[in-house]
Amino acid sequence: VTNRREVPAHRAEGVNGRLTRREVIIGGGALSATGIAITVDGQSEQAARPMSDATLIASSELWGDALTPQRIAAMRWIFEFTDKQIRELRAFDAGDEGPVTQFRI
Amino acid sequence: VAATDPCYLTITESADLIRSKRLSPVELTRAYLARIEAINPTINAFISLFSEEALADAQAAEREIHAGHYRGPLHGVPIAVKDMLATRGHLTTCGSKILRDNVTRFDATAVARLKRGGCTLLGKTMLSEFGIGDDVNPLTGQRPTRNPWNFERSVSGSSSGSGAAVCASFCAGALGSDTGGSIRLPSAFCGIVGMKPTYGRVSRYGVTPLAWSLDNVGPMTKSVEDNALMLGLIAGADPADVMCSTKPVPDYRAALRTGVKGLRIGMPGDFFLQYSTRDVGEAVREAARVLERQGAVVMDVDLPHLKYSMAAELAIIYSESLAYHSKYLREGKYALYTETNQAQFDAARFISAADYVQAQQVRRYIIRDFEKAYEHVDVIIAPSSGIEANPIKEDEWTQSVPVRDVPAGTLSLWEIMWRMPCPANLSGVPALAVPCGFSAAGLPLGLQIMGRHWDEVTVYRVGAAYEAATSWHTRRPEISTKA
Repeated sequence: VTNRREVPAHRAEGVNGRLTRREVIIGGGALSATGIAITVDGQSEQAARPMSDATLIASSELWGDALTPQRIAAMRWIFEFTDKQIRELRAFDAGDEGPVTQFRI
Repeated sequence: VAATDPCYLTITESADLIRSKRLSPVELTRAYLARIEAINPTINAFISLFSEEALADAQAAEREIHAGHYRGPLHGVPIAVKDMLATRGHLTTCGSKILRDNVTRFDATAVARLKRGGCTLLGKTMLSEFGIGDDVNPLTGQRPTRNPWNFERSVSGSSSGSGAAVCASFCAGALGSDTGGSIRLPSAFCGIVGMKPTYGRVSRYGVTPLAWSLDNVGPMTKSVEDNALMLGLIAGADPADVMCSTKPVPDYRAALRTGVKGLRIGMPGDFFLQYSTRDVGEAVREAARVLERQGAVVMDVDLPHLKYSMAAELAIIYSESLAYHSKYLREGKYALYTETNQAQFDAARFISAADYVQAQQVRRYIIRDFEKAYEHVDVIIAPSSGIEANPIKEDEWTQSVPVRDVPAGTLSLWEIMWRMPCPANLSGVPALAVPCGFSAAGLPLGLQIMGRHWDEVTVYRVGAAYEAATSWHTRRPEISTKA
């Protein structure tokens, strides 16, 4: 399974002790958001820091507009704020809960 | 300006005078336009003004009323609209250089309904670019919108111009939009009343999206009754917005004077009050005592998953916003955006599809938390904003992050600001901001009243009872044109 020691999952209140579908799925391997940190068969690679200059520049190049270190420095706090929030979000185990969608019956 | 200035009237007060022909819609419109001309250059609440058209509409309204064709309480009353809502034949810039030449050929449904009610449209108000960037008038470059209570203070956003315009008495009421507090935060900072209705209550047709699954249109006014009146006019089914509900629209004013005796009011302590400044926390606790003295029962409620609400809100807003703006980014227009939006788009690229879905899953838990809480209480109260209006210089881009000391610790302005409004956006429940006091620095503070889905009637009822027992809503800023 993926290394979850660094960011322990918080189980949703009321979820029983069985493995969730999500836990079964991520047991095989996971690809990070930016495709940089890969974890396969229990061997966790050193994950790239998602808000490092190198990662931000690499990602921005994919969009055809490379960030400069100066621009990153100016915007550092918004990146860090986002990073903090996303880490909190990923730490929550949503179990088998379905997402809210745009569909209205 | 004299206290008898018609600009200070509420919609309801103006309507009574207009209906009885003691106030001319033309004179009222002229008074607002004169006030805007004198003071708006300092406040910067408007992007565009429709002076000639507004006067022509006011003349038409006057003729109709004199001919016995009174349309209702907004007939002949001047209103302003956030420049994110389309208006036929006018610019709709969304506060962005990208749309600075964008003339829309139709009215947003909410605007069309206000016009059908006979209101006079004065102009389009400032906003944070596309609802989440910086406040810059794309036509003049002037920045930002200033708080009428203190010109060195922020109005917050994104409906900044609508908040400032109502507060400065540039109009009788205004429309805003709210995706993560964009009606309630400016309402709190300006000491006015702002409603984020139930998701799907008001059509978003003709409203430029920020985040489709969170966007709402709502009224910003000087009183709870005015707000209920405006919502009644703009709410209701619209086939042009697939998410707009077909549920019947009740009379939101029907229960305004029935009091709160026996109503159960929930107060979730940790999530909100632990993240509010002392002034805000004390004002909200006192508001609870005011409601208790009127017969309401105040009790603790637990909403355990709110702790994930900011993260979920951010993931959804950034993802949906990036999706919407991808077309402009692909066209190479990145440099045209304000700094805040550029940074947010850059940061949004690191939010994965899985994060987005996870955020939508978190919403289910939060919705369920609210549903469970509403088995025991009728409304939930909290601060509209955890802080008073912050200094404008703190909104400028620097490498240091402004922070505040709250009981939970020293936190960034952003964490406190986003925290209070986003649970209502994520859960879709209606949430009303009403003035609930002033800080030691003399700045307005806001109480947030959240209700069950589609139960704006009870939310307004509580707001009206609180308003009737206090006088915060009657205070107006003394505005000097010497900024």
